[in-house]
Amino acid sequence: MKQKKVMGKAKRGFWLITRRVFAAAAAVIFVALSCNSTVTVVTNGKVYSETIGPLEKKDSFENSSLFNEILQEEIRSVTRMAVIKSQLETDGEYDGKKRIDIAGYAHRQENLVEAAATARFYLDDLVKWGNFGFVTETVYGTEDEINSYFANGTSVFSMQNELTAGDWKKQSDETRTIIKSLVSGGEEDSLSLKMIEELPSSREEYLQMAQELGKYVGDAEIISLDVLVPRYFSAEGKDLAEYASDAEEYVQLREDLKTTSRELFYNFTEYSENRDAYAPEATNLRYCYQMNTEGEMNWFTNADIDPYGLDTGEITRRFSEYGRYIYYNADRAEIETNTHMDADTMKQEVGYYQYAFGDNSRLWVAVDTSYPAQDNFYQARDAFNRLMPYYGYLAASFVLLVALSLFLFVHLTRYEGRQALSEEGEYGIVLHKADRILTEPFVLLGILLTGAVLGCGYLGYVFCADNWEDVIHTLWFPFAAGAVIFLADYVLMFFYLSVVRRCKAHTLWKNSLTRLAALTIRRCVLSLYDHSSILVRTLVPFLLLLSANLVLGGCGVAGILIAAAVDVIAILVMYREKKALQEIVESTRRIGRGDFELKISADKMHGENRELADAVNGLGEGIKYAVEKSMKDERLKADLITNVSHDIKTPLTSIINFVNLLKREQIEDGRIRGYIDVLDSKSQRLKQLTDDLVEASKITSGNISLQMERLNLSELVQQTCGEFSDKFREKCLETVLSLPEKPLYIEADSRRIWRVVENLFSNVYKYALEGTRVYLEIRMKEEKGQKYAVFSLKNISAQALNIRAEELTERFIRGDISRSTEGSGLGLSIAKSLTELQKGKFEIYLDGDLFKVLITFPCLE
Amino acid sequence: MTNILVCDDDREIVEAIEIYLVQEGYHVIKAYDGDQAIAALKKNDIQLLIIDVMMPKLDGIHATLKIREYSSIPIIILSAKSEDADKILGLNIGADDYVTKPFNPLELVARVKSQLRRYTKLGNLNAENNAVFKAGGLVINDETKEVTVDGEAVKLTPIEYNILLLLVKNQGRVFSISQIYESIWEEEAIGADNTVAVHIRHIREKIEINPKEPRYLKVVWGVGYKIEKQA
Repeated sequence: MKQKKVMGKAKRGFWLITRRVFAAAAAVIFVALSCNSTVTVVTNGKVYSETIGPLEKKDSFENSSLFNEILQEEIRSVTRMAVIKSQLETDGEYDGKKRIDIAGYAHRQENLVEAAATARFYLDDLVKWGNFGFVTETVYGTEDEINSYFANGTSVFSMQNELTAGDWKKQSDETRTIIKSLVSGGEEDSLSLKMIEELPSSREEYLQMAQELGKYVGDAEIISLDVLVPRYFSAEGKDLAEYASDAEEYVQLREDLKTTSRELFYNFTEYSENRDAYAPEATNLRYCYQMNTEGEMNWFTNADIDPYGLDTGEITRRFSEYGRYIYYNADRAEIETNTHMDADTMKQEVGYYQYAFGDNSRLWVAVDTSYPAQDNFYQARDAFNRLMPYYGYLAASFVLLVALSLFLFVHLTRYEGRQALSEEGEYGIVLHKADRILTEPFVLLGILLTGAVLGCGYLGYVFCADNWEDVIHTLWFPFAAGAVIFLADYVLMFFYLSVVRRCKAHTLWKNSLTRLAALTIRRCVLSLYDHSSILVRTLVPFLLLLSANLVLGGCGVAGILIAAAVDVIAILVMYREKKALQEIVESTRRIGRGDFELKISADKMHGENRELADAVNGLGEGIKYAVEKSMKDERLKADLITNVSHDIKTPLTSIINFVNLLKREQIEDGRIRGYIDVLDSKSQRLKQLTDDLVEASKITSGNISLQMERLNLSELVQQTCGEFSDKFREKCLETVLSLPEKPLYIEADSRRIWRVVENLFSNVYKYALEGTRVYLEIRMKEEKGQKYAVFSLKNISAQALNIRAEELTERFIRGDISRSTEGSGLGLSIAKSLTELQKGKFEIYLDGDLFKVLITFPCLE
Repeated sequence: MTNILVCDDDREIVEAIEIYLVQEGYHVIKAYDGDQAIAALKKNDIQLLIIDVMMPKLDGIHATLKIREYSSIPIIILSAKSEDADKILGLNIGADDYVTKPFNPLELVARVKSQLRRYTKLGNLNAENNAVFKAGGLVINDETKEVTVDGEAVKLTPIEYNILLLLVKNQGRVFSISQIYESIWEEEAIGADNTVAVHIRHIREKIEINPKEPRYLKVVWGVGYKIEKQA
């Protein structure tokens, strides 16, 4: 089938809508698939989105990667919970009186064997402290002074003892009151408080005190120490400061305490929120962790077993009864499972809490596949089973719809804008009204409008839905999304197809704002240039160039480079101008030589060059017109003369014929015979006149064609002499012929050159004085390296030649006196014209009665 | 009786030609345009046609073309158009001769005679004699030293005869004056001499109807002389 090259209007509309429906349907399926394949998993208060992937195994939920992902999340969560429990619980219950070794806790991740100093605090106190926050007071003193507190519980240099009175004491009282309010019970005279109380609280204060005591202490010797206000005391009822032997140790202890409190508080928060998340009735997950905390083996489990009395195999067996189970041995990094979990993943999950999971740790995890609790697994299985049977079909239809839509897109793009011009399949591109809008605003508008449609859809979704989870699982949501896509596609395609049409009609760039702006600027600059005065034209570019050079030259290397580039451009522009000028000069020269057809292409020139070119063109045109007109006039004249002569010839024929008849009659009367003779000679002359007239006009109008060939001038003259020998003898004219030894060859038209010589000879025959000699000479002449053949003819005129030589060759002019004799008066004129047509020279000299003609032709080798 | 059809829109010209031809013993049939000429040609037994070019209704050129479709009688075109191009056109479309107006009536008569002789008498003449040289209507019998033009005997001097024989034997070849001189006089040519040219003119005057427009002995100006190779 022959493929049509043009798409009908109805067909186009149909395919457009079909494609849009396909695209929207694809969007519906995509949204439906992605909404329903998202499963929300909540573990440990955190919310995850798990996706049912397109490559999901379909057979069962427990084999799916979704199951695996959730399981991994749950294991991570349970592991963390177990660790937290091990920190906070004793025998499965929260134990507030649990003593926490702060150095051990703070450095639990670092495998710190034994801290230099440590203290044990009650768990409750630490959690509360962590919740409340820490208050420190900065004290100043020399290293010795401060360390002396840690060594002896009092200072060797107790300043206030030596002071009788001082204002600072009062201030100290106020501070003391505030600080004391922070301490919840315990001894008021703890070491920390003593230090805060006794030691100066600023560098200036210390110096002032030292001055009052008359002591000199260097500024560099004064150190500062942040003392923690003792909100709680240790399990032993001691202040933190008492555990330290010097300032360095104190700082270490203080920081350990802070870390421990904060982390325990954080863990406590998590614990209190999620403590029951893994209660047996809340989850389908069963776990049993054997781990060592504080040097002891502890069991954490929510399974209905008592792990203490069971061996490993038995626990594993019990767990396997739930359905899916994992047994992980941390020691050998071994795993026994019927899930897709592997040892590396387990090792990684446990690895975060390396300190809690020693070499003898064992982990059992199982998922009760009867799903008694409505937990993450339950919900995920629900979503999985709901979606999976249709997943393949939906995905396949999605791919198919997208492919179809793309195919139609390409198809429509290809045929867009075409309109048939003929039956044979020729077509042109037709633009719509919208295609005339400038390209850039149009494209921008398209993007904005499409964005607006999509944005409205999104806003609608945001406003309609309080809970996005509820919305995305409704049936209408994908269709609403599809409708938005349908609309957006409508807008986008409208703009896209317009751009396609523009591309095809090559108006994308032509109709662009950028091009328009560029053209306008260009036009403005050029028109300014073309219309401004010569001073502006010369000065402004020069000043611009100069200032550009000066400004750019002062801007470092880059500036100089740019300036150089600008100069190169300027030179190129100047070169172009000069070249244009040269072209004009050359063209003018050629016009001067007669090439009137020549036209200078002035379109690409500017300024003076353009004006000059236009002027020269006008000049050439004028000359061409004048020449053509004169040629036409000459031709018209020649035609007129030819036609008139034809008309004269017919009656002339009759005259000649009948005169001839009369002559044949035997007329006795001499008088009548005389009349007849006159008629005869005049009719013959009239005949000659008409012929000459036609020939002369033809020659002047250039209406004859020449056939140039190589001729022997001597031969020609000899031949002519032969032709005229009888006539000359009749008038008793003697010819004196002088020929060169070597024949001289010239280039001429054989018959025309004969006409020239014949005219000269008959001239001699008509006007030469009877009984005189006629001198004929052919010789060679050299002039400027060029050889010329010269033919000269001299005779004595019968009548006095009282006119100028030039006049003889002017048409219809002869010696006035000889008007009565025969001849048209055109002979010499024709001879001269014909000679010149054949590139020869024809000269006449008159000297008294001597008549001399010179004909000169270039000599051929 | 030889019938000659004369066709010209100018009645006086036809009348004058009639007078001359009747004097020569021909019978003249007159026509005043091309159509009349063709009609007359069909009605009568015509041996020769003289026809003008510029005529009303059907001009001479078209009439000649039509006549040539069925007749091979001699046709002489008579025209005021004297350009080379006009003559070439006329001769190319089938005319046997072309005479320009105003013409010498005696020349016309001579041309008529010449055409008739060739048409009626020489058309089937076949000369097998080796000593006979022909160039169109010009025949030279070297045995009897006789020269005839269209059957009419021409009297030539021995030198003229030899020159003509040389040219006829080498038809189409151009001989310069010195070449002719050397082959006839059998001595070297010595510069300025009109002898050959004068002889040639005399020959032309004897064998040509109009020596200024020669049919046989042509002058190639500046090169020499030749006898045109005749078809």
